[in-house]
Amino acid sequence: MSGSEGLLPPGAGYGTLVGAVADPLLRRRVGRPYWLAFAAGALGTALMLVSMGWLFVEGIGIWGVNTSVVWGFAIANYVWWIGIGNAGTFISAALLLLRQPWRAAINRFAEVMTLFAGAIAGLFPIMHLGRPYRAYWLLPYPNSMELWPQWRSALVWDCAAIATYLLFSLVFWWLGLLPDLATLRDRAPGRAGRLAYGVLALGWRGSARHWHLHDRLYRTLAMLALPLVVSVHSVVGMDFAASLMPGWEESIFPPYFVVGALFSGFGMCVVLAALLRWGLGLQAVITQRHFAVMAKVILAGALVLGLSYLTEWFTAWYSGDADERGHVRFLFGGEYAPLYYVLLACNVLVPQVLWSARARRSIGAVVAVSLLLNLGMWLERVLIIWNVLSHGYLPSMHGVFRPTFWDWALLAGTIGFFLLLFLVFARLLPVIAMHDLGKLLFDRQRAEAHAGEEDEARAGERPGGAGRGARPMGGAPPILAEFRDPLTLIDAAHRAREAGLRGLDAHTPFAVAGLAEALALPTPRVRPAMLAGGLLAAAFVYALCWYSAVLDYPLVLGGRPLHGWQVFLVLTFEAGILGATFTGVAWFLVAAGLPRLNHPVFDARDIGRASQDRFFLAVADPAADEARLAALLDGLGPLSIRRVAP
Amino acid sequence: MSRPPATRPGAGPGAAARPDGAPPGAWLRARAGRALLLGLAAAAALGLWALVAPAGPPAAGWLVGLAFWASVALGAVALLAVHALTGGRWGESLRPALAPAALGLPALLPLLLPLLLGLTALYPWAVDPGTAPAPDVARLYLNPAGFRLRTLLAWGVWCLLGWLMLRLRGGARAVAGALGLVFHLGAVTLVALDWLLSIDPHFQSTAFGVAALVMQMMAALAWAALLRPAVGREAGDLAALLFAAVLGALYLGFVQYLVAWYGDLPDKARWFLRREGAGWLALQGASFLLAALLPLVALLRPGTRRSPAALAGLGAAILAGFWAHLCWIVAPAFGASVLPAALLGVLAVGGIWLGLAYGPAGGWLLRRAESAPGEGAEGASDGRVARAPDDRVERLSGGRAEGLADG
Repeated sequence: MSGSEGLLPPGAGYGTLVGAVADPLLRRRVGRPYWLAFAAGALGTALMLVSMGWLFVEGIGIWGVNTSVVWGFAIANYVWWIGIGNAGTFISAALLLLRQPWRAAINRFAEVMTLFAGAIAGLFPIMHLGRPYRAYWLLPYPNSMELWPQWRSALVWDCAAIATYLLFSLVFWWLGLLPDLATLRDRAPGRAGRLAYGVLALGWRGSARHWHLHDRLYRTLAMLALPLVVSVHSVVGMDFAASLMPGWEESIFPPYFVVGALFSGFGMCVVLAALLRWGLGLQAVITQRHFAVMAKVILAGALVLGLSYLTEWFTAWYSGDADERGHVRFLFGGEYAPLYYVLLACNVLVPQVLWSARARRSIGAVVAVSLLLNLGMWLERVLIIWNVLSHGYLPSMHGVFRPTFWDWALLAGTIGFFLLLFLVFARLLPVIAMHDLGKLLFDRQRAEAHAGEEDEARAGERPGGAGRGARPMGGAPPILAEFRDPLTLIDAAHRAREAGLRGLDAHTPFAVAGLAEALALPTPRVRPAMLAGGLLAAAFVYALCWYSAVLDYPLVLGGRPLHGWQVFLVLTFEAGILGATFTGVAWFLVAAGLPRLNHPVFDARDIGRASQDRFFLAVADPAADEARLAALLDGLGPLSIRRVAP
Repeated sequence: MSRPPATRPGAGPGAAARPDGAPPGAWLRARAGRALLLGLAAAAALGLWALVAPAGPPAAGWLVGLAFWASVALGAVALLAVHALTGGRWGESLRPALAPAALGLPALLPLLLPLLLGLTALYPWAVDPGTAPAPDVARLYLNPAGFRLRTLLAWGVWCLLGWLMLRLRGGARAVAGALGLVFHLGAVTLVALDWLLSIDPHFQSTAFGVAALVMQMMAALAWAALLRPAVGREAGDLAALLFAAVLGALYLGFVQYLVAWYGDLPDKARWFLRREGAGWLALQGASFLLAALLPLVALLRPGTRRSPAALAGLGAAILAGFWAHLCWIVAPAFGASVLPAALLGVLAVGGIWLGLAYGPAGGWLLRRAESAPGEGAEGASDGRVARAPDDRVERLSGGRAEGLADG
């Protein structure tokens, strides 16, 4: 089982990988297909704006919602979009923690997919409020009405969960993007591009210390991402499960919504991967194997979903409850039954072709299955609302939902808006994490060089290394030794440290595994800080809920106790994640001393390649000079050794 | 802090003295005979109890013991099947600990008999079909014949699956693992409903099956941690898996409670209310402390994650908490006397099962499963696949000899 096999082009170098991603962005003009798609996206966006404007003028009566089916398209679209949004951050984080090499090519655009889809999803509940301009009432803020949000309402949980998720996803995406912005800064042909990317990169210089911090924080955030993703879609599931309707009050809904979300999100990820691969000519880095692996995940999702459907049907029958059974009968024989059969075909039946290895190897087949399953998942969300609300306990309330033009217009409009956002993103920012590709290539090289054994050997011969960690740069301008490959840089770092040089650092295009050990950088203590920040935020929000619901604004709801810890915990959890995230980011910026656009090392010649394909050892020791360093690094073949001109 | 003594052997002094590198379970293997005797004695005590007093509590105790050890074995099978699909270092390092448990499933078959023959002592619907949620449910599903058929059928497939997961290699193993997991999810949902939920036929929870599945994996991982298969970085993998499984089990448990609490419908609320009385709440509280809070907090420390000894301690705590959780589900229908019975049940089933699964018969099965290339493997690749299993057998049998010398 080799990791990177079939994921990178055979003769790839660090520079060519960066070029493959950055050049379509910086140097190539877009063709007609792009502008056609752009026009379609813009048109859709216009349609969305018009629909929203008309909604604000007329109210939700322009939709097909009625007194039976009060949720209609808006909530279905919300669940559909948040489902797509749910997968991106999850894919990126889970694959990072599971050390899956195929993550490198897909994580960036999956994260962006999350941001855009999540943001669009958030619009729908607001529009559905009826008085969207009062959406801020969902937030706890001091107000002259002396009102508090109702913490026991699933709508408030939604608000908290989506806000947390969007903020978190933004941070996670931004943190991964930061080094790539520096690469674009150093590679941009024009001054405007250099300036824009340069400011956004906050002065990232690929320092080994920064990479060390970055790596630690990024991993920690990935660990937070998994429970967060689960919680967000569980909250969406709770929107339904918390009501008393037959077919909704299911304890399996929270986990089942999570699975459904990942399923549809993976489907959208496949579609976007195929589009980007074709549109930006990324065949070298988004390969057939990526599609084959995602196809397996989709198949697994289809199976779990199918079993969930079975469980629902079976439990409805097993309960012996007339209404529960009536609900299942209505699924198969009611007003919407034909759509239900299409749903089952798209979500469960069609993906079964992916058992065949031939189908998995065909990108066309995988994309076709993904498109169908996205249709199926949209139907699923629509039907979960229609089927239940159209067929509730009271026969007098049975009624059918008929979508209006504005229902369709808003759905189509948001799809166009998503397309437009994505097209803009693909022209402005790298759709693939370049530093992750570099890391993947390095892993392959290291595996080829059997570096593992050497590492161990080195660890043995290291003389009293632990106590003598490389110290931060002093006042002296650093001497830079430039290398072509990271393994040599690690050797050089070992030698420099063993020779007792101080003020050691390195500048590299990605986090070189083993470099932090070679420089004896201390493990960043970001996790205790994040834990403290998270606990503090969680405690604050719990106290807030308790104070408002028990003391300041007691309101008995369905006979439930005022102190409903069961539901306060949901909000407390979200707050904890958010607190930990922001603590981590603040800690990172302070510890790394960023933003800092004027660092002396930027005066060095060719330092721009440190974000692309060169590896620099920096020595800021007053006792060191070029000649001594050259003697020390003899045999390692540095490309150049120069002192940075002050 | 009640904890099942039967889980102690792995954490005992023998295991602590085990030199790193020896295969897990060697210490256990050496004591298989004594475990069998202990188990038989405990089983006899339970049998006697059932004869002289109402059979409900001892039967419930047996059910807890059975569910406990079946969870360990089924979790091992599921983990092996997951590994067949995903690959990864963790599977290789856990395999020596999981393999005997997965292969021990057939050894549980005779232990199922008291349950299958004693349905009337446990389940109201077995006495009076009128207590089932609906007449057709009693006729088609919730009846003694159906219960026995489902359990035995599932067991047959599970035994086969465990065997295949160890015997097959490569692509055939992946396909069998995928199909097996699909079956597993369905079968666990039904069997968990039959065994545990149908004690109160009017309570349903659609997530109960998934929760049982995750808890089984948690139990198997905790069992593996007790046996200390992993050293160095591999211990970190085990720690991460344990953390994820504990979190998953906690999540699924909380979600079921939250939905029932929020809905506040009579049948669902009643089930929880019956389990809320001071004593039962304390039991579940102990379970939460041992199987959720303690591991989650302890595993935040990097030192704990790297130390096989600390992980073994956590494994014991998680298993104890899991036992308490099973008691919390089963016991309130029968009263407090189920707790000692459940302790006896864990000892009885565990002792007999360990005696069989880790005894000579289990060892023979393990050697057969590991030694030859699977029937599913293509003839052409015979030479290639035969090598790896041979190494493993050497390690296992070598360790076995060591373990025997130890004891």
